[in-house]
Amino acid sequence: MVPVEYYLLLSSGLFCIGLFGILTRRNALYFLMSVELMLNAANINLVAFSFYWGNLTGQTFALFAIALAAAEVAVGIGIILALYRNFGDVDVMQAATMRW
Amino acid sequence: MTDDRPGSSSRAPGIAAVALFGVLAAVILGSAGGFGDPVGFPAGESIVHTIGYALFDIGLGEIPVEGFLAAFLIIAIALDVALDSAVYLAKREDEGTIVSALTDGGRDIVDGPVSGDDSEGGDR
Amino acid sequence: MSLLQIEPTSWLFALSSLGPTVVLVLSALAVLAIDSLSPDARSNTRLAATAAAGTLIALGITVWYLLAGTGQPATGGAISLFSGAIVVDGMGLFFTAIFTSVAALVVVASYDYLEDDANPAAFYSLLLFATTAMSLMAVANSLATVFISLEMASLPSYALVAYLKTNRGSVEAGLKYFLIGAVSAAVFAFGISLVYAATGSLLLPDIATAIGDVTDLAGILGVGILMVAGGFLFKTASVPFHFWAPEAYEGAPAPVSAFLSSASKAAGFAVAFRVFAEAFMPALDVAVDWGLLFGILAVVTMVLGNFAAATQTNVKRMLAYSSIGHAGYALIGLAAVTAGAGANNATVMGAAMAHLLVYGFMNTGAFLFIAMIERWGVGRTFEDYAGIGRKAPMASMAMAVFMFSLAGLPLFGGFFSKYFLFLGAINAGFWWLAAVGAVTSALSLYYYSRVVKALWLEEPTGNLDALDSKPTGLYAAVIVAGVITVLLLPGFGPVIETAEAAAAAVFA
Repeated sequence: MVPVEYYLLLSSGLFCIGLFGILTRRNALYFLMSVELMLNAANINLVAFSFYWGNLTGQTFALFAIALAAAEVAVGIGIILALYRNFGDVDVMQAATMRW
Repeated sequence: MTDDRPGSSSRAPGIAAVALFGVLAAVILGSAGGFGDPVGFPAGESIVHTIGYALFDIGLGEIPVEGFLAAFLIIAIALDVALDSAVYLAKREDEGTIVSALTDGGRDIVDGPVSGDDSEGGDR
Repeated sequence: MSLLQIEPTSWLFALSSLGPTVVLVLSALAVLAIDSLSPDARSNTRLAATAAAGTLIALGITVWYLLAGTGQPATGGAISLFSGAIVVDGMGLFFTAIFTSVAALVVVASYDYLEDDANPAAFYSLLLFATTAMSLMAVANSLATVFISLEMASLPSYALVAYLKTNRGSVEAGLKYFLIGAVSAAVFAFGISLVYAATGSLLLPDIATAIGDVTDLAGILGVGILMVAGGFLFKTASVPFHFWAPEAYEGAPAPVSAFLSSASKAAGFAVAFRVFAEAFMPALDVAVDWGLLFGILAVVTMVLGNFAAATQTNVKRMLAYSSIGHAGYALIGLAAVTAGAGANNATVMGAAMAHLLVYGFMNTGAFLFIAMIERWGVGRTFEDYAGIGRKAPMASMAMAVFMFSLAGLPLFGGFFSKYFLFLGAINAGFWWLAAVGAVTSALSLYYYSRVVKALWLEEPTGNLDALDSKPTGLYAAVIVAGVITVLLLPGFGPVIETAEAAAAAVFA
């Protein structure tokens, strides 16, 4: 039996890989993939701790998280398409004449 | 296409992500002693069935689970909303029809705005 | 209790308890249906009328429920539905009243704004769906429903910000809003998974019970709570997740900015108030002192929002930063909370709720005035606003009311809401929050009065002939918002009483 804290380490590693991608990549599509990694880190925790606590709340909620991730990507791709039509590129940093 | 070769973007913010992993790992290992043995699921109980019951709030099955009927109804509408938003954003208004999706193109072929109408563009 | 196993009348009971939400969903679907049945007709009027009717009926039902005491202690307390995942109570109804009134004003104003739009059905339906999602956020009682309804509110908001698809500013604003929103949703989901890891539950009352037993897992619970807080800070446009707000509000169509900065912000607070008051109160002693965290963030948000607003030359951007500052004021409602001080906590949180209601009207009105200016095509800076008061006295008078009310001058509704908020903070022992709030309010008078000065005292610099056209819907919405902002001064008593009773029920 794998100790449950290993799952936590795995999921936080995945979460931080996603965050790394968001902070360093400029392409909007890479950005979406990185967000997917972060959401799936949450799913690992939910499924692992569903077994740990002996209730299925986490597993059921993970299904909802997957569906919402898909919905979010759909809207995101729509915005990126509109961006491409206006700017001819999907570079986050270029469109971002961002004044943070 | 966007320049995304290694080294093309700044790596400095990435250190923040690595640092966050350090913090998270420290917290997790610090509380690792707090985890007991997992409860697990009773043998012979169908997990898939129980998830199905949970989605509709039926309350059968031996494995404890919270009711997700409200979440199920809300996400039904939420997916409609996502479809509505995505279709609106992706639709081309100018020709009035949906032309075939852009496959590639990018910088090398088209330089500058692709959309025909950029009269209002860059207004800040 | 399963809804499928009990007699069918309880479905009716559930639907009627969620009446405002059901009406909003049905009107959104009706808008889509009208558009599908006659896709070629220019049906802006019909669509706007349907949407306005939907929001007003939902508002009427909400106010009726509030007055009748539905879900409040007078009639047996909160109504728990769907195995406790939804709870209808005073707080949920109070916030639903805010969302539906803002949505009604925005729909009426959008009628003129979308006059030349090819396909307004998408706008109205997305707006109504977003309002629906907010009304669900206000009654969500489980982290599952909180997360899903929050996402359901965010998705149409991204599309609304990018609504002007051929306008670079709008698309860019939509992209930024989406990028920050997607990251914060991921952080929020990870936070929920950590809270589940530490407590084994998603229902807010069960989490509160389980927090007592976490002992060694307190660190994980603490990180989870911080990440959940991050999700709320994005939705309310507070530091450190505020930087999307000036970009999104400036680039978005002005009615959308009005909607996001008033209703969406209030929705973020609605769900944050409930989650932290119901689920995470015991964690104050066990895991992480989130009250202090919110206190520091409230101070930084108030200072940053107001100072940045003072340096702007663009009026819409100034309002965007001012809305960040107001998020700081409302954060006091979460910051001035101490374990075990139920009465004081309820007073402060109730005052923050009342402030969000008043803010809903005055801020929506101010952004709708900007929408009117955009429609006239006058310009964006303070100089461009010079002399408008002479050509459009009614609207400029209303704008002056909004500005002075936002600053908190004791003539309009904004005064009492800030006064009760700061007084509540002092009584709860958080005098430093009240002090920072009062100082930044005084500073805000400087930049708000610049707008009024430009409108009324300065000579026109440009050609103001465009002001001869009178957009009826925009005018009506601005005037109504102005009248309500004035009426909330004498009428503040019932508002604050309702809000404090609702907050007390959550803390009980």
